[in-house]
Amino acid sequence: MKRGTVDINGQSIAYIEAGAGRPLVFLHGMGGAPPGGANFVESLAKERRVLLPSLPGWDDSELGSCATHQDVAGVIASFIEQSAEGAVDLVGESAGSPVALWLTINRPELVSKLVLVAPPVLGHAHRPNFGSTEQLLRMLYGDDPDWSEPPSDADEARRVRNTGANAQRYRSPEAMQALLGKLPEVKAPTLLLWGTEDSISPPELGAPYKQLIPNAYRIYVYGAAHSLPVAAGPRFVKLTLDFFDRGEFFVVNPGRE
Amino acid sequence: MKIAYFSTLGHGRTRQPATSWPVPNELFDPEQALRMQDDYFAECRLADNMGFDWVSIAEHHYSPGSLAPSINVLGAALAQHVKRAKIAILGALLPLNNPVRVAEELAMVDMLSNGRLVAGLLRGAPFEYLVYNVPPSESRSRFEEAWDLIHTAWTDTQPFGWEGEHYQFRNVSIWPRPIQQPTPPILVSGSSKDSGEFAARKKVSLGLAFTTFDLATGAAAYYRERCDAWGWTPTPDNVLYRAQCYVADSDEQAAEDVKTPQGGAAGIGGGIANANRLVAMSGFFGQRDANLTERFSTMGQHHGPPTLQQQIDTGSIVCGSPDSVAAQLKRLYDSIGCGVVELAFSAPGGSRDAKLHSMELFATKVLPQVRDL
Repeated sequence: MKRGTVDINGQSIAYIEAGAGRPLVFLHGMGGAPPGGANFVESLAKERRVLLPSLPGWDDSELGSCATHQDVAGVIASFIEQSAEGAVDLVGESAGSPVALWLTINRPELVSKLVLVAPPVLGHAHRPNFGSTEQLLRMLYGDDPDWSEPPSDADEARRVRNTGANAQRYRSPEAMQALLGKLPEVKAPTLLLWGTEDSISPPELGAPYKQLIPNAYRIYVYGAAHSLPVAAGPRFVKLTLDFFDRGEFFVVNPGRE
Repeated sequence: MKIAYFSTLGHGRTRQPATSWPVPNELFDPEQALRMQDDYFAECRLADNMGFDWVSIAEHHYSPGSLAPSINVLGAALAQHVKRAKIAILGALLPLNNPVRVAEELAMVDMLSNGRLVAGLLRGAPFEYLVYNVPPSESRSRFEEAWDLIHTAWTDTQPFGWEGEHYQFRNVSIWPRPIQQPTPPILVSGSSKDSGEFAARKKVSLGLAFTTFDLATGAAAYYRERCDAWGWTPTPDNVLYRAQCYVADSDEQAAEDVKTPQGGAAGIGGGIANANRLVAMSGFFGQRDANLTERFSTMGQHHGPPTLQQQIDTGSIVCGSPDSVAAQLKRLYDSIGCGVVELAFSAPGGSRDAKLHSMELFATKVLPQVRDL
């Protein structure tokens, strides 16, 4: 696993890279790049070249002049153009989902297929009660997180810093409403994933994504909390790679391997 | 109080005694099965006309005691005979079946009955786990996952897939949805603490069967305590208690009649007890309900047959004159708080006439006394 930075039109963007093969770009959620012990990056990297940029304003990536989801999507589009040849498979987790969607809408030639993990609630007023830090971590990662070690103090400090710096901007109702109206323009085949125990983006409030994205499949991951790549790592990896590899045949049972 | 008329579509006596379980189906008599089926539906129609609130059925396998292993098929047929009472399927055994199929079939029964389904979503008795090779130790987790999947299939109006521990589907969008919205009334079994907690958390009704008066009183109290913790208050209608029933013109006559064994499939009790023991000792109940493991492991191994009074005291039967049976039902209501009692009417000596007379006495002389409880 390699960590580095890339210059995007004078703006420094931090990223993690692992593995080889067809590129898979993962856009993280509100907490920033996943905790260091999370296993899913290495699991994906066994099959794919995984690129995990930190969005502008998160981790060590400069915010630059980014003010909206679309601005951030423009920077990530440039990141993809610089880092990969042609279209990529794209994952947007939670707060990374709006960026992934705008990128798919505005630059369809850069996205082969799209996986959205617990995207934010659209069209409803929903204010999750995060409670204590311990409660929040349980809401994010559930009872059986897939990590080699729990988040370090530095990971946790980074998560708090990222959330404090970016939450206000990213959760604006106006931005979410604008995105809702554009969902019918998503052309890439899209897989929507929710954990059934997700109280941050409750699955029952996710219907607009399925209703409005023309070519969308929706899977509930039973018993899983909000941050699926950590809360249900093996199932997230299996579903994501299966969808990216088999496209519309994803719905067909392939039989015994 | 609401009364459910519970009856199994049984085969009746076999030409040789059935002494083990599974019962060899060489003893199946097609002509007798058709006669029993005719009688069965006639009795269900009678119960409907007599004013019983529900007609209820349950899934059982591999014996002449029940010819309805596919309980939803029977429920669909029953819906065509029973025109007023609710059709209570108590129940479909979730861990043994494909949950999406269960969701589809129960929704069908709800449609075929014009919205009269009561859906019991149950784990079943331990011995059922020898039927489809389902690991008993997975019973609880399979049940809970299947329950959530069925509930989602009934309530989610957009196609979805499911990636679970036990069940994986890439496309679910059932037609029909239930007629009763958002779901038919749901009941789960609640003899164990895990079950009571589950029913409370899901805000559904509790069914108490194959238990005793004391255990049921405790289980119902625990359920209400947990409902309170989950922020809701169940009504008596949320608690069902199942018992045998036999009503005669007098207490003395009832006691005399029930001395005669019912016949039919009664001889397989030892085989089922042994199967229950094997499954109970293989992790069916889990650590939290170790007392139930003990109970099922030793069932039938000691004690002689209980006396009628013992059966009445433990709540396994309500029996006697109409006034006595009404008093016994009031005792159940007062202690357990069960607003629904499900009664399996006994047929002493296999006598259908005695059973029908018992039903008639119940409908005309007991039901009016307990209706307003």
